[in-house]
Amino acid sequence: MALLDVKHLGMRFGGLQANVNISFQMERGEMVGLIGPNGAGKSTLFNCLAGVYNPTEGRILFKDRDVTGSRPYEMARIGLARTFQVYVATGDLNVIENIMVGGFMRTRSPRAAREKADSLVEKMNLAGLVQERVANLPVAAQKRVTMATALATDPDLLLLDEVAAGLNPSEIDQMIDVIRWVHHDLKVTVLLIEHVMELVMKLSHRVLVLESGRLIAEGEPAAVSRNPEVIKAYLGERYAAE
Amino acid sequence: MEVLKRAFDFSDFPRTDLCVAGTVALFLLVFPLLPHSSFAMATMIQFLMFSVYGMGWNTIGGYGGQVDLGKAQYVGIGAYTTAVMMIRWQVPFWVSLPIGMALAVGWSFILGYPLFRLRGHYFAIATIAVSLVLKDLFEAWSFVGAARGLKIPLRADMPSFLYLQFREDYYYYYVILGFFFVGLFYINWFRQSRIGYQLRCIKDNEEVAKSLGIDAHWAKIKAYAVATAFVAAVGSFHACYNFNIEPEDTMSLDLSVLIALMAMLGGAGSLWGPIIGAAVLVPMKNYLGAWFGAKAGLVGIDLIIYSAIIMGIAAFEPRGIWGLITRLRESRRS
Amino acid sequence: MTAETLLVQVLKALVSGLTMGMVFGLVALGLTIIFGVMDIVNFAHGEFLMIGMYCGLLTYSNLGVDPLVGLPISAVVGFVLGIGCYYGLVQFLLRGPMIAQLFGTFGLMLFLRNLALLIMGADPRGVHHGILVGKSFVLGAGIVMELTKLVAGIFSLLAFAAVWWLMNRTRVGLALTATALDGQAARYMGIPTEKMNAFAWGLGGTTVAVAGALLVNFWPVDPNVGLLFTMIAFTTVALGGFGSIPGAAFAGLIVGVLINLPPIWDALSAFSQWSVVSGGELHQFKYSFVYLAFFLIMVFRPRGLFGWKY
Repeated sequence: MALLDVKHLGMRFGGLQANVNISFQMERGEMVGLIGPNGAGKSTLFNCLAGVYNPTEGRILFKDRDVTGSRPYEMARIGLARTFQVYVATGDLNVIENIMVGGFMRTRSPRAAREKADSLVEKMNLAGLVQERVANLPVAAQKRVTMATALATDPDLLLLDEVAAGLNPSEIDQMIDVIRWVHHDLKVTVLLIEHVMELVMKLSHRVLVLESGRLIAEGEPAAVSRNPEVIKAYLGERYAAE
Repeated sequence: MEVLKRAFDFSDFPRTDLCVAGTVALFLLVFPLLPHSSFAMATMIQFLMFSVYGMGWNTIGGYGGQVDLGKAQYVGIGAYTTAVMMIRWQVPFWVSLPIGMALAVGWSFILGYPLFRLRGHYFAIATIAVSLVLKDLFEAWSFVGAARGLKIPLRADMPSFLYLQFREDYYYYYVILGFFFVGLFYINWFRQSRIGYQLRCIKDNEEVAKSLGIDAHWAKIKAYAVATAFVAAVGSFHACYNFNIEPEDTMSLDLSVLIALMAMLGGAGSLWGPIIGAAVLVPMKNYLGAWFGAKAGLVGIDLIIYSAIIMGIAAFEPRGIWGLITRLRESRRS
Repeated sequence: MTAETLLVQVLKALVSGLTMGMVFGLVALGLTIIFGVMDIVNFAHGEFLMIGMYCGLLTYSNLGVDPLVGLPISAVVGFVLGIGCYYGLVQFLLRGPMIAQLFGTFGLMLFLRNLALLIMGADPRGVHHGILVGKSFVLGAGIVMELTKLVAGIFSLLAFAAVWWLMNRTRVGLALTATALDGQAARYMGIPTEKMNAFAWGLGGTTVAVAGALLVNFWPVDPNVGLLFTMIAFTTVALGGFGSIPGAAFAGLIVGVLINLPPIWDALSAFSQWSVVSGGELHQFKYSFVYLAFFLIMVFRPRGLFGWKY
């Protein structure tokens, strides 16, 4: 039973078809990367999976349930969590409180939520920062906070939205370790949208490539990076020929 | 049991705060025993009433971040339920109190469902609109005395705790003080509970909240219902304390605004905020009103000063007095 | 009641509603412009109107100038008021969270209302001797139309046309429209958005003050009149669509007719001898209809008729 089964997904906004006939599956325990040039429709696909958009065509099956058109809070409760790229907070909640909100999805007890948050904080290198407001943190830490918050909901599938954006090389290395830990220790299946190739290629078992709303390639990282269609999508015809 | 423990758990506040709070609590307990004028007593009772109003408002307006300017309609429901039941059917206060609260909360669920599709200014204006419509209805409804209102007759068996009729103000004082402490402990529990955290997350960033499994719409409705319960309870008290109620003083926009204002001035979204706000504005309103009102031709100057304060706070420290205190502390820490 | 009388009543209410509606549209215009340009809702809008009304009243009573002739004075006062409020308060509010903006303009509303109470006293005052007051215009078939209302309606229409021309045909107006559509882009193009914000407030103040000066010819003014008109303005803007100028005009007409509706209902029920609600009291609720309309619009169609900014 595939964890996630996307069948002929399409998303149209008025006259613009952002996603066209996308089909793929994800098994439990996989780490899948989703790449593609700007405007390829990655964010749209992401938002369809997360329940933010209601796909205009196709179906999404998660844990064998048809979840097409479910709302974000329903998706979260079913076991699909996501991170946010830009975390704009007015600063009411600090780091630990943020993560606790995630924990509250599975428990009513503040003590239990706090315990869950504490365990995540330790593992994700946020120990010294628990009382800080998220907005005051450096970018890399903010990303870990949003990941920890999503993880506190005990998801089966975690969608990571460009977690490497804005990180310097050493931070990227740290992030790779964190994601590996999430995948291996917490047994969370991961779908990463990324622009930073290094991260995607190092981590993914499989890579999906989108271009102009369609899935143009799927396979292991090495194979995909040599795929002429993929090269054409990123660099144009001239390079593909080489 | 854990719930009760949390209600009394103030440990996340610094020692100084707790000492101040303790001192104030002590003062409130012994106030009637100290020498005081009846004007001061009336002011204190009003302060306590507005503290409880404010604490309730704070759940949806402060922690929830949705400014509600229509709470007075629920004050009216509480007040009128108690008044009508007492006048027509001799129902004791302590029975009509929960009934009034239940009616108000029921109405709040009916309204809340469509109302919380809105946010920000639109929400605020819609709350005003609905409250005004209800007030208009009460002003035309003969069952509740229309615009003239209702008058609760004095009972032969006064003083009566059952019917909340006393000759001395200090009985009323202790009743509302009881409400005050119950409310305070409830809100202390609330802010440390799941719903409290969820609301604050919704206020910070509703998208994130939804992605964490929170049904934002429903959470807000729940908070709104809590606020309503608080406000209706004090409304019932108001009916017994004042004996005379009419739509203009229980359901007016001015009351709705005052409630929201005091909470905001003191610090919306904090535990002490509404109490601080009431502590500042109620005496100011009463004493300024007495001072200036006495001088002919200076009507409304207390409100002018009020509104100037509001504008100042809104422009320079929207998080209110408590926000100011927190800011000063943080800057001193770093 | 005969069918003819009923018809007359209905037509009368309709005509009255439409002309008043034009004025309501003008009242709402300022609110929608301000909102379009900077996303702030001015709770004190009705108080601006009230000041415009007092202005019209005072130019008449103190300067002996007919309110209609004295319109430019109200316009100037409104402009200064708007700009003053912007630089004195609103520019600070814009930096804060929404709750601050809400309370800031609410405070302004209380401030202006009580200031008026202090200075002018609580008694309602009206204009009783203008050139047009008391004169009527017979539309035929017994429909009597007060000239003041008619002229107010016409002037409102002219004011609308003037604003439309300003927004679409002058440099300043286009800059304002640009700021409304995309503040950041406007700044990149060298448009001084701070000044545009102030100008929006000035323009809003002018239009609503002029509306007030027109209104005072047939509607008595007292310090509390602001709240009602704030609500009417909000409903009008919501119906027309936040930010839309033509929306404000159409919505104004609809709201004007809506306010005159309960008398139509009373007339209908008297005509058919069929009391749906406790008959003759329906006119008490004429403003409640407005508030209810606002609520329903916001819940079911927040975009209104032509809104582009909800």
